[in-house]
Amino acid sequence: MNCQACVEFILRYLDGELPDDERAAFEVHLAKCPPCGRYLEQYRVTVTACKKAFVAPPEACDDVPEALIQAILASRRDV
Amino acid sequence: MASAPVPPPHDDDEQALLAGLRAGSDTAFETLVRTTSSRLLAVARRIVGSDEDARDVLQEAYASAFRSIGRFEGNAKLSTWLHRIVVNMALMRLRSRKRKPEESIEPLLPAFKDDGHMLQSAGHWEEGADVALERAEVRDYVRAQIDRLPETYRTVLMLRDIEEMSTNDVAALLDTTENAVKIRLHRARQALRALLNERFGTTAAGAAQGASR
Ligand SMILES: [Zn+2]
Repeated sequence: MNCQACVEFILRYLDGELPDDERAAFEVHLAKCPPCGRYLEQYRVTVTACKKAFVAPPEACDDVPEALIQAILASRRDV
Repeated sequence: MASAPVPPPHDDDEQALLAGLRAGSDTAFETLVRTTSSRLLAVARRIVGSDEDARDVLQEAYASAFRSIGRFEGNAKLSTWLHRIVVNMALMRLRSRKRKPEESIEPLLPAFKDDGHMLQSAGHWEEGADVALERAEVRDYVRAQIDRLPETYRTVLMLRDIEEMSTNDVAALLDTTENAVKIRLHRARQALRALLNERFGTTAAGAAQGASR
């Protein structure tokens, strides 16, 4: 396996969707290719970053304006 | 402002609530709105970006839910069902305001030589890039980079990695195949990695990769 194939396999590798032989080849390549190892690690950090980027601090928890709630409830009467 | 959010109903209460909704009970609808609207407003805001649009989306979503409650089959949780309606309305809102033609994502994807090696191999990232995410300023930065992604890629990234919907659900919502969703998600993550590399990369080669467009 070369770097291009390795990088293409990352998503399916992380999702546990690679068949055994491809998974083995992927891991063999990673073990001998530090740049692909770094790429995989950074890909993982990127996914974590996405998840964390939208975690609001508890104090910023959304209060829905009462006017909006009332508008929503009123809209049901028109349905 | 308003008092603390009402806790979501327990599983046991869900059946009672659903029965109330089906019977057209005003109290049941109000309970539904008060227990779910805070979380759903946040969902809408994450996808459409602005507060104003998010409020419109929320209103449209509940109106749609009220109309179709009779068709809710009860094999999903009410909250999951509502979440999907909000996401769908938010996507429609995004589409309706689509402005410029979508930029290509290619410049943000890794390029390879004929022998299969990366043109610019991944450099090192600063120590503790993941720890840095505890800082609000870094999270703001990440959100800004996500907003730089071409819309169709940003959408898939939001739905899969942030809303944590299944590949199958996202494919159905976007009217495409599961494979297409996987390909788009992979590219979106790769592109975002390149954008984050501009900040977290420590070596010249690494830092140059994202900036070369
Ligand atoms: Zn490699």
